[in-house]
Amino acid sequence: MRQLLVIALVAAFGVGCAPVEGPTPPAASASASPIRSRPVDGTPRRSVLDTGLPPGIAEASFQLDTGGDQGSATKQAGLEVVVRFARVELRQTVASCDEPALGSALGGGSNGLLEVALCGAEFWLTTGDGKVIAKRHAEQGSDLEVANIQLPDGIVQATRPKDSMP
Amino acid sequence: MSDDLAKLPPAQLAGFYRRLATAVDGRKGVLRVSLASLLMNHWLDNRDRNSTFVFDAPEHLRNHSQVTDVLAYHRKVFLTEEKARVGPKTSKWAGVLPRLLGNAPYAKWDGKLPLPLEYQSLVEIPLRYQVTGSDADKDLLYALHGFQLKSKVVLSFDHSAPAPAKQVRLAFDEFSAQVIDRYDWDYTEHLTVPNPDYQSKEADAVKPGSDRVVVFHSNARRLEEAGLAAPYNLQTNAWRMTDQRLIDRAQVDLSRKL
Repeated sequence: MRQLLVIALVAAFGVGCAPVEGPTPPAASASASPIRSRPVDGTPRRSVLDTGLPPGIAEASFQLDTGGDQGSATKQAGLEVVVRFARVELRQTVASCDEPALGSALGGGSNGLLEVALCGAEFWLTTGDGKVIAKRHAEQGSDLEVANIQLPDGIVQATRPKDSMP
Repeated sequence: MSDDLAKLPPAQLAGFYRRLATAVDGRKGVLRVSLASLLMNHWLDNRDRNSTFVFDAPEHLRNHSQVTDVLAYHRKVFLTEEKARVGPKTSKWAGVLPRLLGNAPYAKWDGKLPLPLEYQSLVEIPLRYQVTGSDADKDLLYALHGFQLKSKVVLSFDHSAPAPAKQVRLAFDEFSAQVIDRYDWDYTEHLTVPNPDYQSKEADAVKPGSDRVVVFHSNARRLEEAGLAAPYNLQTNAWRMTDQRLIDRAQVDLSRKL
């Protein structure tokens, strides 16, 4: 439905036909396109953090990527697995969807199940045996592993990072 | 379509973007603050792409119907009154009832201690607001477009009145929310904007004869590569709900089948 709306807007207003009145610039009608999905990663992207975690500690969580859309066409959100240890951050997009959801209201937080997320399917983030694993959970049948990240030697499992909300 | 900014050296390009942010602020209409201008200015000031810009959510963001509608949905998910959306055709029960019942993968909650819960989903400011929107609609569309809304509640058993059999009464000890997003440009796209240099006599004015100009976001990349701007994460300080419809006590039926 939303795709149809975007297509209709592009057709209706096209290049240079957006209004110039208002508090902010008119939108990117010229480059508006149907809702774009975000690319899913086969392996994690690695970056170096300015501030590291203490030795022996690893953190893992799901996060959403909603960037790159101001002044642009509507984009799906990316569901990312984020793992941090020492000054290393590993980030892997495992799904792209219109209506993602995160949070403890969905379950998790016990027995190695760190977190549950929704993004076109149900995803579980688990940890143990020196790994962080994200799976697409199936109510019936087998779960499908979508990320498998090895923690450094000596770290058996990751914990959830401190919440950004007080 | 020509890129009128392509030939500008980075310092002049930064000047154009700064004038654009100023012009946006000048057209904020009834709003106290233009978030689109604030965030563009921060992008120009920023040099650390891993940084997080934290600010108070302006009133027109906190009270926008697109936001309050999602907060009302979050309340229903917390109270297991509405299913959490998984995809276009699927949804699942979440929130407090599976915890009261101890259904895996939820840890059982016996009500002896307060229960904190979080839920985070998207708010999408519709593109149609570029045509039909109010000052607030347009500001949020151009500042954020799609963003994350995170809610946090603390629930406790409400013993102020007896609950009917097989039901519990719950109180919202806390209900707060926060907006989260990343400010970065899609370098493959472009935007037609009112030209801040229209009728300007300055030597470095861009296309002063035209009242609008197309800004290709490849110029944003050029600016970032020159060290004159940087993308960033953004989050608002959490704000507390005061709307009684959101924080009112609720009753949960333990005999419901999920």
